[in-house]
Amino acid sequence: MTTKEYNSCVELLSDGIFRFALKNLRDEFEAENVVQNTFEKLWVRKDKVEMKTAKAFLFKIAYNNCIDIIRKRKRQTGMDEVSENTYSHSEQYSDTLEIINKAVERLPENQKTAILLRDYEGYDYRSIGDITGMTEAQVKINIFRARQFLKTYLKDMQLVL
Amino acid sequence: MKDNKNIDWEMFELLEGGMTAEDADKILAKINGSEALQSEWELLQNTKLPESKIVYKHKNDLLKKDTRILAFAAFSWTKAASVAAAVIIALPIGWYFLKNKSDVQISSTIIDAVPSEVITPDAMYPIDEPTQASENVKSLASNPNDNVENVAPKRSTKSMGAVKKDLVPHVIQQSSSNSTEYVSVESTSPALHVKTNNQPLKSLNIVLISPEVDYLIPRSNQEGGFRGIRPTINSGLALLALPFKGSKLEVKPSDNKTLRIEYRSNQYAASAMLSLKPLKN
Repeated sequence: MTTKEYNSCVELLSDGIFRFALKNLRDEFEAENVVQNTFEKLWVRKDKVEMKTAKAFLFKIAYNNCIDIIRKRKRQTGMDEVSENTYSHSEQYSDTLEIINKAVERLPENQKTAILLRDYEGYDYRSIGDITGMTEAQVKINIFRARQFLKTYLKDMQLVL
Repeated sequence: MKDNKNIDWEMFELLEGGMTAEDADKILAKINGSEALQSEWELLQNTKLPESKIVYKHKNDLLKKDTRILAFAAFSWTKAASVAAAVIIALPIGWYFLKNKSDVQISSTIIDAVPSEVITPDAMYPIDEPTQASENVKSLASNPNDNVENVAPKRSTKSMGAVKKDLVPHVIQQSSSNSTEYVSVESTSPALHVKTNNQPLKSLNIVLISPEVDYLIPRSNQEGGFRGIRPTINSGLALLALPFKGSKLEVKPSDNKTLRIEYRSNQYAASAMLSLKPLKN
């Protein structure tokens, strides 16, 4: 990969990587760090990474970074993963987009990652599996469960509104 | 319940585009036939995450310039500076060593000043022509550990002054057409003496045997008691000891009053006997 190609990766993919990290981590500062680390690693290995595989490489690095941060947080807080069925309705939402965003935050990590990569980046199950280390079947079932959770969440919120 | 799960899965497959056109038509017909399913289908379609405008603000910080320009810039400043610094440091050091080395050659005529009594020529004999003396030395060398325990307590922590008086150097010399070497101990300035190409004796005060015997002859924990002479010279001055490169200078206990110093290289061998004065406790 040339410097020019690297720069075009920055232009094309940094927003997506940042969005992916932000949705996963819900912390802008940490998400920015993830983007910086991810592209730093791409730069270091630019001679070994081809342009056509750069996107998958970047998301894999970003995903691993996010997982590391989430695990670190869990060790620090000692909190268990939020169950897919435990959510409150105390927040006030103005539209479906906001409801969906809040609902996504409540998804378990593997479901969240799978649906983010699927809907935002348009990856197929296999590519998501390559990034996350899951099998295609696992990816599919995680996306199915994520959609079921979001659907139920939306239904409940409609009742509240 | 099972039907619900099946319809959920079928709607999911429809949403994900994982169905054939024929199957898709079937499930769509089923959905259209039920208000409840229509509502469910509508909700499921809303689970597709909408495009969100999230922008990474620090994009420009990630952009890189041409690496060749950077590499050249790095070379021109850092490399050039380091090379200059190395030259500045190396020049005086090199000059110092060269000066020292030439001193050895030039001052060979001054060597006559070395006291002749430090060597006992009578004790010299070729090592390849065994004499009674060399046989004695060899027999001592074969039993270097003899009386180690007797010798060890006699290692002096006091000044070498008392010991020096009792030094009885015996030198073994290997005949050589080109050079002659001696090892000896003198009373005032213990040194290794070298004579090369029949030139006057050269004294190099670099491989010292004394005056601090206790310091220079460390006691080893290994069997054998005293071994080796600790070099007191720095590595720079070691250049002066080039004639002894690869040689071995050892101190071995001989009997309860004597230490034997051996110097061996590929070409030469020499030894000297040091008599130690017993300590007065």
